[in-house]
Amino acid sequence: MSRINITPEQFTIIGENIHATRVLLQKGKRVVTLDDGTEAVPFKGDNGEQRHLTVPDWYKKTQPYEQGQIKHFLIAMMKGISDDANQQEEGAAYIRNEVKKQIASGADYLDINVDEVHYEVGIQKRCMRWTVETIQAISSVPPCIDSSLSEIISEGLSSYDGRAGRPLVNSVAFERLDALDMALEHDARIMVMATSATGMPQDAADRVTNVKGIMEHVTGKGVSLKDVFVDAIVFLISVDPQNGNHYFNAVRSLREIYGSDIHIGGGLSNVSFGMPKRSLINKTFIYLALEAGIDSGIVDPLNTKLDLVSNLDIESEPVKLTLDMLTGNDEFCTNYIMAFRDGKLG
Amino acid sequence: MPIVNEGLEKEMVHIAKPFEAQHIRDLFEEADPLMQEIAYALIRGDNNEVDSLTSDALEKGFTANTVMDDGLIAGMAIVGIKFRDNIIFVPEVLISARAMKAGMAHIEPILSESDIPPVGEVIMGTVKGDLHDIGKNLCIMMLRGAGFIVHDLGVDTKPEEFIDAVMDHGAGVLGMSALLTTTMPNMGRVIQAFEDEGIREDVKILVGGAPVTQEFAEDMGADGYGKDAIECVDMAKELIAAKNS
Repeated sequence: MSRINITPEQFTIIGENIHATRVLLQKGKRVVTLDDGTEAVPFKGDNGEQRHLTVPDWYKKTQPYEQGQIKHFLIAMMKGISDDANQQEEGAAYIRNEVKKQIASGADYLDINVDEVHYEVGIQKRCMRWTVETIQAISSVPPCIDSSLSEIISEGLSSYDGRAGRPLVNSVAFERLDALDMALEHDARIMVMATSATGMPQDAADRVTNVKGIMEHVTGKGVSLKDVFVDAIVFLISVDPQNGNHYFNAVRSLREIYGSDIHIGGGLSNVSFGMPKRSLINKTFIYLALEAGIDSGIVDPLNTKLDLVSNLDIESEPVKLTLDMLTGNDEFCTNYIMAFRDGKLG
Repeated sequence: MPIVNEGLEKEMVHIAKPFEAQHIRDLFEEADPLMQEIAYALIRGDNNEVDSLTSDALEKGFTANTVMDDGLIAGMAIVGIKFRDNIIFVPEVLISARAMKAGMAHIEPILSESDIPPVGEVIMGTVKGDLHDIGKNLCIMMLRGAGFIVHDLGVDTKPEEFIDAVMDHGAGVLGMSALLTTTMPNMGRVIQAFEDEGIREDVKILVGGAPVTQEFAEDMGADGYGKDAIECVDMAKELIAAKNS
């Protein structure tokens, strides 16, 4: 723990759950069938009362539903922009419950991503506006406006009235430099992506080169390093044993180049995609990333507790195996998966 | 021959859908037991074993197509089903893919010298503005495993790059991937570009990617949609068959 120089309080948590992509399994614990046969996701209403986000008939005709997936935030957002006042209220209450849970768990920003709500940009815009307005009505923390389309970022920024502090734009990238001007216009902080104009970074050097390139534009406009978050791009450990090292090395270099003011992080839970026991991989990855110098992350604040990370028992067998895997010493994650099948990961 | 390889028989418990299990059993029924050994070594991801068994089989006089279809591809089909049903994880698919490659290293030179045509030729790429490639690469791996020649255009591919590649290679199928709703409409733009060039009829277009649905694929005018890598291969085979009929 000695090599980590940051306390949980200093870490900026960008809560990632309010995304149209989020899935609950139809057969899972969080989806229930009501007495009248309706499927629903239970949640706590504003006064702690039991409420339900019901799965509407239109959703049952979609392919995700046929595959057993309940996209609960997509449903809440689409209810929010419907014509039916009761449905709107149900969607809004669902979002409010999530906002409260995330803030109670320490979220500093609430990331909002509506990109996959529908393929029509018009509907994406309406969902972004509705979600930002719904959140700001009760939230003590500002939104992080997340989209791969500048138009949607612009819609999100203009929907927010600034009452909970400066918003964050996710993200400014080579293919989306216009988002920088939008951020400046709305006095927003910015997230900088370590992608290039043509592709994903292959290694640490690529990430550093890309960030440097974008930072020339950013600092050229007079943005203070304190207002910049770098997404150093976390890739799946399941596809390349070096994906952890590429990230850690990039973080170390960026910290050295830009000093302590700039924020460094990214979507930390990506690392465990396609693997069993994701929470073990995630907390061990965060431990190593903190050592390398991150001070922020786009994470699920309900599942990612930094105090658990700082209390990580690095002598325990499961953590040792995970550390090996994340630092490039377990090709094809063979030892990790074998330990999982043998029930040795806890 | 029924399944006599004990390891392979144990693998069959993972094939939950009766029609899939029957299909696999039928396939081995007509093949030599050596193919079961190859399939099982591939499922285990043992690339050395696949390497030597494939080479042995060819020496014994089995044709390259037989070894590929009844050994390697049959094994990969089981791997695909186990992955789809969450029984195995991404790295294990990659290990089997490496073993597949070891086997194909013996098969490919023979196929390329023979008059036997490849199953088909496919151009693959992620559309403009989209930098995601994991799903697309998984599809490419499975397509190659199924005997297709695949030309990978990578990510952020412009419509004219798709057109040039299809023309240059005379490929029968074009596969496009998009991982974002915001880049998904670019698939439709590529299809439009083929129409504008007057060459839409020359190629079958297959689309896929997380936000893409059957409905959206049809709206855009695609010929086929695959929701995962296995469907991608099935659909590519169907499209090639439709094109040749």
